[in-house]
Amino acid sequence: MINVKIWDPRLKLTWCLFLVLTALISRNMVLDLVLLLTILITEIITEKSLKRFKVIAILLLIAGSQVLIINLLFGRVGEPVWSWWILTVYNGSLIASLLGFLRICVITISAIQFAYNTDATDIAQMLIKWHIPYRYAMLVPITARFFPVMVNEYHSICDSNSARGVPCDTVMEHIRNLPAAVMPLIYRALRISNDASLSVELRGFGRYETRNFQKTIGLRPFEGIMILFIIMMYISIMLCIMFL
Amino acid sequence: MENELALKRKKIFKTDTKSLIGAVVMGIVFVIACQITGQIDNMLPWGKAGMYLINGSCWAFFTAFITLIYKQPGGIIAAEIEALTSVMYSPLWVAFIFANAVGTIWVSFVASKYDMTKWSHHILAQAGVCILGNCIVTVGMIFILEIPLDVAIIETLILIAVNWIVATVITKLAYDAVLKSGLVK
Repeated sequence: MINVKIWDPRLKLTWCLFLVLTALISRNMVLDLVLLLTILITEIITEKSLKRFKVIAILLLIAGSQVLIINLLFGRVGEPVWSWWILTVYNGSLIASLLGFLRICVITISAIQFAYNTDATDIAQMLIKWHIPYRYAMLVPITARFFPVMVNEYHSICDSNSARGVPCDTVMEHIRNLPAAVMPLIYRALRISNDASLSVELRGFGRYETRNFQKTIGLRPFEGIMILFIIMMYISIMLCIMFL
Repeated sequence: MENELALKRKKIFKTDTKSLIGAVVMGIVFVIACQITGQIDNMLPWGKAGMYLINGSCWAFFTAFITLIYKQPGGIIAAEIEALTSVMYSPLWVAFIFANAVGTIWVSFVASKYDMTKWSHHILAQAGVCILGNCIVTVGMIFILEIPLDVAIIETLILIAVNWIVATVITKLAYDAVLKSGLVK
């Protein structure tokens, strides 16, 4: 198994942007399919399984089915292939749905691959290398740190509501109790942000121009060459799309 | 004193630590709320047709609310946290990066001109958020999802109409409630 996590975040970001931008400019189903297969192959090589994409695959299928329904109902591109009462299905709609589905797969899965393989502190260091003041760059690890905290806060609000006789166990109950949960969550967020800002101030956040990290990032020659190769590949694909 | 407070509110930038950390924490609340409302919309008939009415209203509310509380760059930070985290639940995250940024900048612009005490101020703030934001998302729907142009335009018009009304009411009520609580100065 190749440990991608130790690679420089700039290389991973370049790879992610290459996939996203290529999928956005592509109008070709084969190219999108090749990009998707590339992501899946790299995932199998690095992780030896695709289970990290299990949840997102369900969401993508839901989004894809929505695109298909809209295109089947309202799309009027190409030749009619099937007709029943007022409903007529055109072949162009099917192609557009498939193209849209492949594109959202590439865009979403590549971003998720980047998010899984890149540590939040590495992203902060990458931003610092780009001369972004560390007060702002450090917000990335802070986001990663506070995400589970706020999710737990939401669950504790739901538990409090349940204890007061408003059940909050099923999805439908969560939906029904959303208005009653959001304002307390906002108030708790305000309180937590007050406490957290005081804590970081007491630890000297923003006192000095620079900040030390336990582990630093550095671009190795192999990673630099890879970045150049990816950029050249993107330019060639763009030129092919424009002139062929 | 009231005038001083009003003048203070008219500043666009607020770069203290509390605002930055607060924007991050509120950005996470923004993500949680959008994720839940997205699930609600997915269960409803209009959500199955790709029209996220409740989710859109929630998005417009949080975009304006966080910007009013934490100003800039807090507003952009929270908005971009939501846009980049939305990769976990929406394929339109690329469009959200631009839509959220434009929405929060518009609210900052309105908040710098008005003291946000009247309904008309919130209506104006939400007009920009809903119209500009939804227009950018429409471009995303057409170019990313390959949805037919006429369908995307009709969906956007309905979304703008619903989001504008709902988000204005919620923003005004929530903003007044938070100011009254004294948790935000």
